Amino acid sequence: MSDTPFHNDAGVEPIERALHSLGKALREQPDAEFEARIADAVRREVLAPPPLSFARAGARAWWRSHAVLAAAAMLLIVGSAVVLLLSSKPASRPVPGPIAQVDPLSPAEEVDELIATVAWLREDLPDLASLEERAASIGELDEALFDQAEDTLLDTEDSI
Amino acid sequence: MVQDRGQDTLPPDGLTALLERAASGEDGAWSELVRIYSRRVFALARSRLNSNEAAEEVTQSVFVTVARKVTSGEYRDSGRFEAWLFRVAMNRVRDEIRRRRRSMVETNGHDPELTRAPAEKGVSVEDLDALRGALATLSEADREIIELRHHGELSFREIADLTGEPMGTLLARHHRALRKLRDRMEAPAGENEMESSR
Repeated sequence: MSDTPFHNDAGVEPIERALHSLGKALREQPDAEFEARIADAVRREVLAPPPLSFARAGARAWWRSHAVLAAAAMLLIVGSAVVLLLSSKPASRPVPGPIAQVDPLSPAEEVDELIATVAWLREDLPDLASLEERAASIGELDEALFDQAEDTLLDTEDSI
Repeated sequence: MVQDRGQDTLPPDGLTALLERAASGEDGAWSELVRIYSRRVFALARSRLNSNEAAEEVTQSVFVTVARKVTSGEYRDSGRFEAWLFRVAMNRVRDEIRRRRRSMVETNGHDPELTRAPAEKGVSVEDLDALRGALATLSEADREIIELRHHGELSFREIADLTGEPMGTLLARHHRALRKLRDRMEAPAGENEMESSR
């Protein structure tokens, strides 16, 4: 100790001596390895702590917490329900409504519709008049004519 | 004055440099700090806990706490390291006393472990036993000052830093505690027992 007591009381000197002796006895209690054990504890716990073991990591893992686990399960259930709901609903299909009632056509009207439709279809077809004329001028089909007709028809099909 | 600090000689570069090295995690610096202070911390704990094993556990815990705070930068040296170290030690001892209060072994009387140590010249084993008995009768505050001063070997300045008491008050309290100890050691055994049981 660097300082000295302020008192000049000789009556307490024996007590101070005894306290000094007691303090020394207390400090001398530990064995010679005491300092090494304390330094080892500092080294082990602070200076060079061992890497976190799997068991210790597991003990602190989030999946060990019941609350977190319950929250995760709840989230999973709600998420699955939302996905199912969305996937069962078509993205752009119109909502089905009542079927419109159309007045039935009369037979004459149906014929007119058919003629108009055929005429509409024929607008984009190639002119087949020459083929029809040639077919009419030939009495019977021969091999060459058959091939020619086949080519014409294939060309026509391609053009369509 | 008969006190000395025994083996706590600081290296030439002083405590501040030693703490800087310790803060950077240097193993050798911590060995040095342990060498200087660990037995003093042990003595403080041993005086109260009456068990070598418990006192060593407390000492270990104190140094681990101090090392964590110093290496993490939580403690920054301002020339009061010893006061801080012993405050940590006192708090740890108090915690341990609270924890063991119900099962704590009586600290008064003969302590065979302790009295194996060679007594100082002119101080008998019986004197040490009587002194420990008398210490146990002091108030908490008086006992702390005596233990910090004589077991922990702190200077009065360091104890004042630690306790926050003015130096004059501290010195007066220390002297009063010494006189109480003297009176109680001189008093017949029955009187001390009556006093401590109040």
